[in-house]
Amino acid sequence: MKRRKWHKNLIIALTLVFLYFPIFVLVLFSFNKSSLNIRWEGFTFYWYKELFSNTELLEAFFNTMLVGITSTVVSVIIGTISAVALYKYSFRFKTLINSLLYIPIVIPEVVLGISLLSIYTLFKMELGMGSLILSHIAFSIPFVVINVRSALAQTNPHLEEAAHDLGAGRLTTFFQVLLPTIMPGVKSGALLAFTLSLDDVIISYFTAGPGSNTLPLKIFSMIKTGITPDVNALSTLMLMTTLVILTVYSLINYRKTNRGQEQ
Amino acid sequence: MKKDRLKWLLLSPVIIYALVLILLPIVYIFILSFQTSGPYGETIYNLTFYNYIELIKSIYIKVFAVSFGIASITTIVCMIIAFPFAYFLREKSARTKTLVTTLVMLPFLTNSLIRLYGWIVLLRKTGIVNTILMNTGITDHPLSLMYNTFGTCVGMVYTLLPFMILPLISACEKIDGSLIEASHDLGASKFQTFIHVILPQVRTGLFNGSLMVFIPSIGYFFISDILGGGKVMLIGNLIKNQFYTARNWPFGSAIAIILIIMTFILIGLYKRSGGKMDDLGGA
Amino acid sequence: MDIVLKLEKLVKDYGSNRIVDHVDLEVREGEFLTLLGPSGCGKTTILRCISGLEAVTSGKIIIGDKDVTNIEPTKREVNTIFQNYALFKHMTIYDNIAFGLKMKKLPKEEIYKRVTEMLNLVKLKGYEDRYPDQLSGGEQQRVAIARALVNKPKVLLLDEPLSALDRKLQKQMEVELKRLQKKMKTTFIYVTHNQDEALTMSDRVIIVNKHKFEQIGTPEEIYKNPQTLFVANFIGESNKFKATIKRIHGNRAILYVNDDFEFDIENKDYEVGDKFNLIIRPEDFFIKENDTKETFQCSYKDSIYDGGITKIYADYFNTQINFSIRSSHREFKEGQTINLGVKEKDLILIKEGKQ
Repeated sequence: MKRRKWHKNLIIALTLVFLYFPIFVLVLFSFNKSSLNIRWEGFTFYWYKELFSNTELLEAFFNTMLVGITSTVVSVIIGTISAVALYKYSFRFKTLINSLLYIPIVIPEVVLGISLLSIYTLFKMELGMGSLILSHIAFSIPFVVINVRSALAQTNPHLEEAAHDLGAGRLTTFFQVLLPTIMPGVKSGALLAFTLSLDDVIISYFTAGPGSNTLPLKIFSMIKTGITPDVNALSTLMLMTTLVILTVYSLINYRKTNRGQEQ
Repeated sequence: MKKDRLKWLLLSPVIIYALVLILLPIVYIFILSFQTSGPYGETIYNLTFYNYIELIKSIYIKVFAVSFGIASITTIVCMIIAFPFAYFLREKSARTKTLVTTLVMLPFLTNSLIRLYGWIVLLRKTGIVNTILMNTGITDHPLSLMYNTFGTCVGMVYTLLPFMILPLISACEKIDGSLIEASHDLGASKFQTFIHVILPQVRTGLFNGSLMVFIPSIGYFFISDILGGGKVMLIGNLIKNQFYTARNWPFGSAIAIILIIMTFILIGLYKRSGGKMDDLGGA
Repeated sequence: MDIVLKLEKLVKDYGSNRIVDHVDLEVREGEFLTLLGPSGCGKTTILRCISGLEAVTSGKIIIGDKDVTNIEPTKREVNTIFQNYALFKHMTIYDNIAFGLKMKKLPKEEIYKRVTEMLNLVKLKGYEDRYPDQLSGGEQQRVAIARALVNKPKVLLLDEPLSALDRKLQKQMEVELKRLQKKMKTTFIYVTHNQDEALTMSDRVIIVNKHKFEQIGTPEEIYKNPQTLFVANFIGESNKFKATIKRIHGNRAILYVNDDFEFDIENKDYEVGDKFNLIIRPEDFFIKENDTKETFQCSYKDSIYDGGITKIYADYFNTQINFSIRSSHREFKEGQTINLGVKEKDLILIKEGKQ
């Protein structure tokens, strides 16, 4: 029996190694003396310093953050309202709208990218931060809607009625009763939207303008000439920051649920 | 505010969004696919099947075939890796499951391009894999693992594996252990139990994962750019070229329309076999 | 005796389905009134119309002396307890109970006073800072009650509140609810399909069937004098026989039971030839030693021991009689003849045609 367990754990471990090896390489090479991301030549912190003089890279990072945060905020607001509205109301073309919402999720990104580019051109819209943010909103909203919708499906149908019964008006009911209840769905939708936006290559490729380079696009353009380790340094810093945030967040959550159980 | 007015106020964002940013673009490139392109890249408006007929040429068929081939291989390899992973995870404690699931999703927080780049270290002629293979005597000359179809496949599998793992973890969770016991009790071998009892239960999850791997992989262009050395021409690369280099938007649109039709067919099959749309998109 | 709630010709349609069919009702202040009926009879819909969560198709709802038919639920002086409590899981118990008072914009001190009072009343003192998910089913139930009652509504509406609890807890809560109701002197309108609850707690019971009120009365009246076959079958167990009036002499009449024997009963304006469904409750039979008049002669088939009571099934003609006796050492053999008698006052006669 013990033998069985061993080989199962091995498979899980090996797969995780497969997933993480390139990340390990990425972090390791941020300390690489060589300026090419290919062979290890010695340990140094040089690139972490150099990073802050690479204005193009920093600008791309800043753009990515700006686009990420803006598109996430907007798509969360629109997505949440939409999910609630679709949940409550029925109307003539509801099935059509519902089906349309799945399209950005299932079709290959390249199709979405070129079709957005085409209508931007049709409306003679200049490509820049605006078109970029709009595109990110376009592919994020459905993910938010699905997450919020799944949270809504799990709420007690009488919840809003109970609030009305106790004298709460529509607005109060939404902000004080419904929203807190579906908050987990809103949060996971927001996280998904932000993550998708941060890493987006394809759609940004088609809809960004000359002055609105994002981090993924900048890296993509460096593929031919070679990616310098300051990019590794930036990614490592981003990864570490995320890990720290995650750890702090789960510690807070852990404390909260445990405190309740103590009583 | 009157009930009706509130209803339309709340519904208008999603209706406008769906019509303007989803329906309109698709309808537009559909129309575009029937136009042709002039020498300076401008669109000439007429109604013709020219682009679609062009696609029947063998060069393009080859691109489609290679793309489908790579996509299929990617999907199958992902299934082979992901299924044991998800299945063995099933018996672990809840804490382990959450930890492992988080670990699977964490790589998404790093840039996918850099992660692919990390494979170069492994796969190049003087890279780690070749070094090990030669040192242990398995091969006597470095294998060409990169800048070709093989490299592209590795890149695809690597990028898309989590999209197969996550639905499978979810599907394996839902396997009814008592059915497996009943099957053994009735005398079925492990293999028979796998085919007749386990597989049917995870069928939808497998379909879900396959869709989330196959469809994106026929549209990616950056993976073949990085690990295919630009030598592997996939549908995604083809479309990109038409829109940038060749400036033949109608032709590119036609290819995109074909992709859309294919996607819809696959989704249709998924729904017919009992799949739920809301399970796609890894929520 | 004040009338706190009146329903006048209440009608509710869903599309072409009539869910509530011209219902009239006068609810007395301080009473515990139960709407009892099978699923789909309309009882929950009536409750929701009273609370305002459902709009009426036609008819009037009057609370106190105000016509509230077109007033929103937020403004009626009525509160509802829902079947699965609908507690606000992201709020503490204190905030849940205080919610209605906060909506009325009462001062903080007043809210604190009333919520604390309520917590004591439902025996949940000390639970203020907990969250609903940390409470058991029974405790959540009490929070739901507290949350509604703290608003001192004119009428409290309860929609099958005990159906999610296990049997023992249900029994305990029945006593609790009755105690609370008497203490607060609030009018309770209770909806259920469970007759035990209805008979235990209510001052009056209304049997609802097919979107109409079939009978209104105290639990005892409903049980002893069902006016229709439906009520007789719905409440308690019943044995059904056919009976006709054979002869009349003065103030007595002869009832011919099941084409088997004659029974001398009081003449309540009967006519010869009147046809009835005769209903007899299992506990109203008694065993006679000798075959005398007015006896059901049946043969023993089976019995089920149920603690203090034994239920016995005996074949009678082409039907089966189920009767119950106090458990004893007495044993019966299959096929053994049993003579069952019944007192005249326990005969329930429902005129045929009164379904």
